[in-house]
Amino acid sequence: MSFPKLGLKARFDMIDWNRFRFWFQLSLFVLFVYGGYVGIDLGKNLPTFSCGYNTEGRGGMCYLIPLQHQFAWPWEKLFSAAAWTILSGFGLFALWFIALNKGWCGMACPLGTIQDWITSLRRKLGIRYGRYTLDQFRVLSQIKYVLLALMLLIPLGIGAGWFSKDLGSPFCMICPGRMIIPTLTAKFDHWTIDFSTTSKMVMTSLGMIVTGLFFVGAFVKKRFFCFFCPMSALHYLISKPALLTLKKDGDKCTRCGDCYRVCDMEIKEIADDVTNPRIMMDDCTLCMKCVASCPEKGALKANFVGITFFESTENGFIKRMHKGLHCDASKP
Amino acid sequence: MKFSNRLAMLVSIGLLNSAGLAIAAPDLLWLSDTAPKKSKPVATHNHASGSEDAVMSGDEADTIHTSVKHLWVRQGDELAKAAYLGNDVFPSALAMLDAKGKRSEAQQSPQNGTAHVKLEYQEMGFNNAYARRELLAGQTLRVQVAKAEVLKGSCCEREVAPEQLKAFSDAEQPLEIVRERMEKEKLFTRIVSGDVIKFTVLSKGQPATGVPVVMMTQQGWQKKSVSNEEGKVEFTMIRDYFPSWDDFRRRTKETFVVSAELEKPESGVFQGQKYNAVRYEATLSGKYAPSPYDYKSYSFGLGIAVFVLAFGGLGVYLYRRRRVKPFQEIRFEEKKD
Repeated sequence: MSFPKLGLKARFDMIDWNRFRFWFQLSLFVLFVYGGYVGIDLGKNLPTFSCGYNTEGRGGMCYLIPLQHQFAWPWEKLFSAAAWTILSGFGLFALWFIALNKGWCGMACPLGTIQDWITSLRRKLGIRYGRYTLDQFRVLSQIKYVLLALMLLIPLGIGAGWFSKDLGSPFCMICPGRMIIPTLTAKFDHWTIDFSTTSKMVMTSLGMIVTGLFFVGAFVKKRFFCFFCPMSALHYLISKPALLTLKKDGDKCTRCGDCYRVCDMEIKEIADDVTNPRIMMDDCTLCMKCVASCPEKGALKANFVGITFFESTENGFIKRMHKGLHCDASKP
Repeated sequence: MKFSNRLAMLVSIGLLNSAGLAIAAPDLLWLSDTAPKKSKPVATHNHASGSEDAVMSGDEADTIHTSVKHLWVRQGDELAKAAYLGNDVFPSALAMLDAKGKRSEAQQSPQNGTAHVKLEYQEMGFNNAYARRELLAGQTLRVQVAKAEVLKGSCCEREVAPEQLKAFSDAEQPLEIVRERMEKEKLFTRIVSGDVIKFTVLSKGQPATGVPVVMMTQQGWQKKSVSNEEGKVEFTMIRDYFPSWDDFRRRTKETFVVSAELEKPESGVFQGQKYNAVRYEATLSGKYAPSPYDYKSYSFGLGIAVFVLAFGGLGVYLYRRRRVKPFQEIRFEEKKD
């Protein structure tokens, strides 16, 4: 049996997206968690949780660490020429970010990848996943903005002398990545409570509580932690000029809801909104599962610098839904 | 010099000669990066005096990150009370050596009458600073070389040339103590209580065997050892920081000074007086902090995480069970007309 030859893009549209994404995530996971062992250092402005506390293995550093450090500078330094350091650092962060947009969350984030693996484990065990109600979703999706504000305001207060220096890097103190990612390189230093001061004790205790909740939450709810991630909030605020975009053609959408059902972040607008072509919402991780699950040709498209490299097609949908079964690839 | 101090010095020198082991002298010369308190008296002559050290407050500024470094010349083997020498007593410049072997001189910029040097670095890494003084004690010329490692470090920078991390020495120094780097030491590694720190004693760049070496800490603890055939000697840093829990500060850094002495039968004339022996006295100062094991608990950390994991999981399970509605079969009786 012979099939007509397909172009590169048409073949990519037929790809088993979940498998492709798994290997892509795994590659970046190895890069960010173990890259340091082979001398890789992508700098300290990465828009993803390449945890800086993983001192030996990290292939680069999450930008939230230097950002919080710099915001904690004394105000006379913060509002001086030294602020250029912050601006240049933010510029580098933005440059990294616009390449992948929120794909840094869905495709690159080591903590996100760990959550996806926990989800796979749950699926293999046959345990159903949980979903939020619409009201819960609306409330929970605001938490990341609150955390982003606190993450910047607390260091500013430290610089002003209002708060103890022990509250430095407040988000890192409660981020489960600080505990989990160094552990993957046999570094267990952060699984501790620091009793040296009350502030440290409270923050490290919160960190351990959040880590416990991370495992429970990620087991029953897909991408549990991403709802609360301030990096995700920061991403969305600067996402307009990004090169990687998700587009929706509302005229081709039948509102079947497949995209909503596969969405790890339960973004309802992906199915309901047929008027906005820039469909990427603040909780979106650009995992592209919606594109892969859509049966309508061209209804959802992933573009890079305006060029569509992956779009929904009927054949791609059928192939992905019937893994291993033949479908007529000659049809457009 | 006060009579009591002179007597103490003579006694200690006598003990040194008779025992053949180094005992720190009251006029031990060393370098410190800790600023004197405002009330701190400045020594206007060669004897030790002073009050409690500023670092005991635990409020010491960050001395690793900053580009600008300060060094003061101090004297005395009671480190907490050692005097800051005045710039009239110690007017000399400090000799500097960087990791690439480049030499320079750091001129003094006296602060409140103290012998003080201000240094500025842009490049990450270690730099050696040496202060040298010569004294005549009877028929013996004492050559004191105080050394400090000045570090511009960062917890974030990794693109630092490996030679910037290595310990290096000055082959021109008659006696020098070199601190060997600890395993996996980076530009922000702290020495903490319980660490084993290793030193090599060098004379003109060559390992010096059988040299008595004394480690002394700010709280007054001293330990003596003798360098082996490779010139190496090691000490385990003592845990000697026991404040009440409310006063505990993990950022506290205390000073240690390592001293070594080597006497050679060399004769000559110094300031018009003959001597028939030269005693080389080298010091190396540094800082150490409380061990994280003093204030961090794995058991509490893991306990909290496991508690949340277990009860969180149980909570989710019970919540889900509560929401399961039992199957209820409803039968409709069809009427037969």
